[in-house]
Amino acid sequence: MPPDITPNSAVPAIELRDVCKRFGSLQVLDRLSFTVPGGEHLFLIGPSGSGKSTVLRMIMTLTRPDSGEIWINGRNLYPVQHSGSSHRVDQRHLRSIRRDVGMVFQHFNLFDHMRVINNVMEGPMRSLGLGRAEAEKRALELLDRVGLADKSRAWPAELSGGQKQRVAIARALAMQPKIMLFDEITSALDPEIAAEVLKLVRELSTQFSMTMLFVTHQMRFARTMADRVLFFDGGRIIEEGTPETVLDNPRQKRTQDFLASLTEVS
Amino acid sequence: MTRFLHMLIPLLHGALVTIEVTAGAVALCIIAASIAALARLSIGPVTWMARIYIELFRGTSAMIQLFWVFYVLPFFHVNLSPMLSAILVLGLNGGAYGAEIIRGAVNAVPRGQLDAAVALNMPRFSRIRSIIVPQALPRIIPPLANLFIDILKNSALAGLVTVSDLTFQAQVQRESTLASGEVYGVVILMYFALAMVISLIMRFIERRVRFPVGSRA
Repeated sequence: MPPDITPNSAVPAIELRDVCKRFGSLQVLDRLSFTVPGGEHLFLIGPSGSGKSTVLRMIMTLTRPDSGEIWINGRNLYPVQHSGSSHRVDQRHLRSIRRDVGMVFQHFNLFDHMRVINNVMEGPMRSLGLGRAEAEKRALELLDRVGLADKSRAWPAELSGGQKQRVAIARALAMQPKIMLFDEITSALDPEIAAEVLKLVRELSTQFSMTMLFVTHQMRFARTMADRVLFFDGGRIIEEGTPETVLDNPRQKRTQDFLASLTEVS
Repeated sequence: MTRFLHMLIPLLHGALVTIEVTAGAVALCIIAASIAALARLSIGPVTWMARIYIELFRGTSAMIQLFWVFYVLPFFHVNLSPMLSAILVLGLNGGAYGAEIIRGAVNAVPRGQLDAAVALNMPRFSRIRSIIVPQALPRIIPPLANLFIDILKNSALAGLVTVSDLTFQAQVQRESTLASGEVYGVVILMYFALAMVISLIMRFIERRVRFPVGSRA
């Protein structure tokens, strides 16, 4: 058994151990540890700059921790090399773990130079080695599923924000990930469109059994979707529990203030 | 009329030589620019080598570079033909500018596009080939058209090392015919026509690589 695999049968989908990250003088994450069991719908909430999005980006390997460990499906993303001080990242190792993780972004990040269908085909073809015909079939099915079968030949620039985000969701699903990360996926959309996208995600969550992590300010969505909520402040988890406890009966003053400020806005 | 034809034929020969020098230099320019840009964008000692190349060629005059290659290199037992010297200098000179054009365009590809490519677990080579290159190309083509037209006009420097290019032939014809107006009139039209050809080719390429861009977040 390779040294980076834990010999535990009930392996959590994601585990962070003492993860630290600073950007310049700003301590974004401060010895952060938490575990996500497989299949859980976990919500990360809290004020802007509290480190929630950084957590998702780290799990997606878009940002590297300064210290600490990140384990995905029982495998360490950055195992300490036997050579000691070497900090070179093993791309093959990362790719083999990353295969199970997908992400949907706040600003969609569709490939502007590709038509909708090619956006959805690109991952399966380049990463999974699917043939063109098979990738196209899978892409069309997923576009149909998100209600955009008629837009398959459109360019991203021709779509509305809500349509772009649906394509982005289809694109992520095409990789058939076990873990999906949703980073403020409705923050760039107006409320009505946001509600439609969230409805779609809710439907998909019952259809595909995936571990899902959400960073969001949509508390109503969190209340109905979350198995567990983590409240972040200053790069630490200051409160956690079921949505009923954290969102409806928060113990911490900081959590109460934050939730009160949200209701004022909406 | 025959006098005009007598003048025109050497000028056409000169134009052909100008085309040769320009085509060679543009080809070398594309290769040098691509390699230098790639080196500049990676980490390690190659970055510094690329920087030295870019600053050296961009920071000194092409004419002096040409004199170096043609008159000084022979002292180090490197003997290049006049034509080759001109192509080498114009190509490497243009490559230094081209490298910075490419580097700028690559850096202008929005970060989110690369994030998405990583999130789709694409291998590094695929990320470069199917995301970065096609997104950078539309930004590279227009400034590259400027650069190539500049190379065309600078190719007149080749005459200084005995290459009988268009400008060189123009001097010869003016001296022998004394018809300055006709000679320079024809020459300027020829340069303009050649520049138009470059311009049209580049516009054609631009149309091929362009994609519709909406608001970019």
